[in-house]
Amino acid sequence: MLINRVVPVLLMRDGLLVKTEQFKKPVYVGDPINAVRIFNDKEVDELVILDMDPCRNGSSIKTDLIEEIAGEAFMPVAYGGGIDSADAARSLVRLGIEKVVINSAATKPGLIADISSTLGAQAVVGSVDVKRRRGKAWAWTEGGSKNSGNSPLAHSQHLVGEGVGEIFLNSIDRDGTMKGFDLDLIRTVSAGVSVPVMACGGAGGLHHLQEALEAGASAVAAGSMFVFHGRHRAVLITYPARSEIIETMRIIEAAEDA
Amino acid sequence: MRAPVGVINYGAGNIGSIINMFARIGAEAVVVSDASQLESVERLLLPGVGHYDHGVRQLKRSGMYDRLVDHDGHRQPLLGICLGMQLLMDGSDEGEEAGLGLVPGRCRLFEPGESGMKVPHMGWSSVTAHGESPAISAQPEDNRYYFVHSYYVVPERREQVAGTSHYITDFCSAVDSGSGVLGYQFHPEKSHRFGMSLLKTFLSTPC
Repeated sequence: MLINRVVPVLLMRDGLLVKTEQFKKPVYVGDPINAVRIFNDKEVDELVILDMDPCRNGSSIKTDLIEEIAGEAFMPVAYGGGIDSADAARSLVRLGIEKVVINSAATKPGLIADISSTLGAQAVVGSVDVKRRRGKAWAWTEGGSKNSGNSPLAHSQHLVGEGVGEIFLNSIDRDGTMKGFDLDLIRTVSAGVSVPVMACGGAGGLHHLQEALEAGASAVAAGSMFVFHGRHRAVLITYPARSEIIETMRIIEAAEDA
Repeated sequence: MRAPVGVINYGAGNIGSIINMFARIGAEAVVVSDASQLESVERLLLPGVGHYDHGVRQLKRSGMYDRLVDHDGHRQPLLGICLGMQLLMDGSDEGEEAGLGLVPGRCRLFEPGESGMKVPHMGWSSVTAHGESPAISAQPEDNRYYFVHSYYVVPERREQVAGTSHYITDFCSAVDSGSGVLGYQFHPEKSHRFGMSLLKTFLSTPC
């Protein structure tokens, strides 16, 4: 049985971890190194770390902090934020990052192809942020501030054509809401691309992860679900037990067999 | 007193998580950066990521290559990880340079053929132990390890294959020369509990 990956997404701002709602209202949730140590104990499959600052204020990639995070992590780490050249991507891999996440810079001609040819497509993740306007979904770039004018599927297919090995599909509308994934979005994009899709945005519990996997996602990612606890959103880093994850996958397998 | 393990640093990847994982299991791992330091530790760990020829050239540049081609694993156990495992072999289809030749055989590229599988192999896979090598045989049944590689080793001697994994084909994911030279294709330092237990086993290899 192939076990789908369940991936915490950590958002950094000024070197600290925050969690947003619909990409706004950042709430401080802790220190990145401390969080990585807790996730080590929880034996997570993979971590995604996204730094908001390069997009927010043009700051450069925090190489020292990233090297420290990669050195602490006993699991593979994907990093996104400010990667705008193949050299930047290569140096991140040298620092111990397994995958680079590209969003805004994907529009630079040839950039993804360049990164993917040296690091391998599997090390390059194309991030697609999605916002709906009157029900219609659009891919947004630059931290959700600019509408690309493309549908999420067209945008994803373009990134795959350029050479990304995975799509990180993030619903801005669902971000931080914990009300469930945008399943139509996941269905549309997963069915239309040849690479794995990691779905993000809206997870509030295991049943949501299950729904996203059933909709076609290869991996499921979440922020709030792994950093908040209870109705009052107390900060508490958690991760489901392996047995719970496997049980979730079994339910899906059983449903597919039926 | 010699440190229990030295991690060879030759400019082919981040060794931070290896050092930290040893610390986690209560062992002080020291960084070894030149030939003179090789003798100061009881066991050696050769990590590495990247192109085969780059790895060989970096080892040569560090001055450690000449000492390692003559390595005696009985006296000082040596564990290669990822590219470090591949460097234990005679060579690789990836490049021109000769490896350390401590395990006879070469590295071959995954050929996906009609399978539609992607290369590199990247993700979590389990390892099935072959024979009695302590390097892998004591692992729990639900084991899983993190892999990132396009090439895999093909040892000439079947008895040196300590473990296999499956991706496109069955391939050798753990080697044991039988004389103190070991290798893992996956990253123990990125495979939490399962990796930790292997590094612990390595620390208990007699020397």
